[in-house]
Amino acid sequence: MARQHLTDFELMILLAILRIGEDAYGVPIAREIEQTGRRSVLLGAIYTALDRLEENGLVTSSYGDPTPERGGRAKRFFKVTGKGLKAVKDTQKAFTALWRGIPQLKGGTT
Amino acid sequence: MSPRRPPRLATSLLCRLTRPTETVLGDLLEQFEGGKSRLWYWSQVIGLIAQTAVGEIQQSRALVVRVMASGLILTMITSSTITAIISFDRWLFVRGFGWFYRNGYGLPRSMASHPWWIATALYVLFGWCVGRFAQRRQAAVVLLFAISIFISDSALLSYHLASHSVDFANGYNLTQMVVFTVVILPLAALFGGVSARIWGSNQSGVIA
Repeated sequence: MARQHLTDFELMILLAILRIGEDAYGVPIAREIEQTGRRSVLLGAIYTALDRLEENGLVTSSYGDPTPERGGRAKRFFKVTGKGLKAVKDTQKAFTALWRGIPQLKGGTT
Repeated sequence: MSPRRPPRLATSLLCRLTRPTETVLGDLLEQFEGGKSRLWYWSQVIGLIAQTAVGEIQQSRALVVRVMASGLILTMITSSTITAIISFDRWLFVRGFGWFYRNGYGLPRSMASHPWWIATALYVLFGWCVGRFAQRRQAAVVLLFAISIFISDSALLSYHLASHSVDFANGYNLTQMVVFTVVILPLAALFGGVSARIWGSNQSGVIA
């Protein structure tokens, strides 16, 4: 049975792809997570998660043309599917519901 | 100005222990040429190899059993070999072949007094054989073999310590024995396996 909710890393990847838009491949996705999420990431971890997301139908991928700065190797571009977008929204709803009503978090997180 | 070249050894290691896609190699190269350090490149490569190995281990329980059993058997063989080397001269006397020893036909003294280094060399050899002849899932096989050596040797040392059968007469103290058992010998097996992949045939065929 497919999982209902995303892990935090999967969620970060999906959000990064959505933020980047058309040019979402491994390098900008890693950069976006590092800059926005303030954490260092391994490319291997990103591709493992992306493969899993693609298997579950949450993203699709397509290959671009080879470029010289990559030693003639092609880029693999990713797009979030409708199912992926719904998973992001569902996860957001679940987090928001969990957030609500916690006295320690009222008036900011400090 | 010519473009920066990524660490060749790291790329070679990645290609021969895993089967990286062109996309992953391209992403690594692009980021490296974009200013990332050699240390970053190495950390990415080690991360990719570790993830591949863990993924392969999760996919095949039979592989885990096979490699672990091989590690255990080879540990026993090594242990027996070392014991035989250490006690060879005594054996000559017990069996009535003292003449050989007296006329210089015993084992060189350096062999009997450095059993751990002989064990290290044997594990490098075993690791090399395992890495060289692994047809599939090379990263998992090499890593698992080193883990199996770690477990088998630790168990063997624990057994010998518990049964008070450790011979401290060779000048090695307990700390040295533990370091050899849990660090040096598994690393020797890992080094052997990795060396076999680096200097073996290129099966993935994607090295730049």
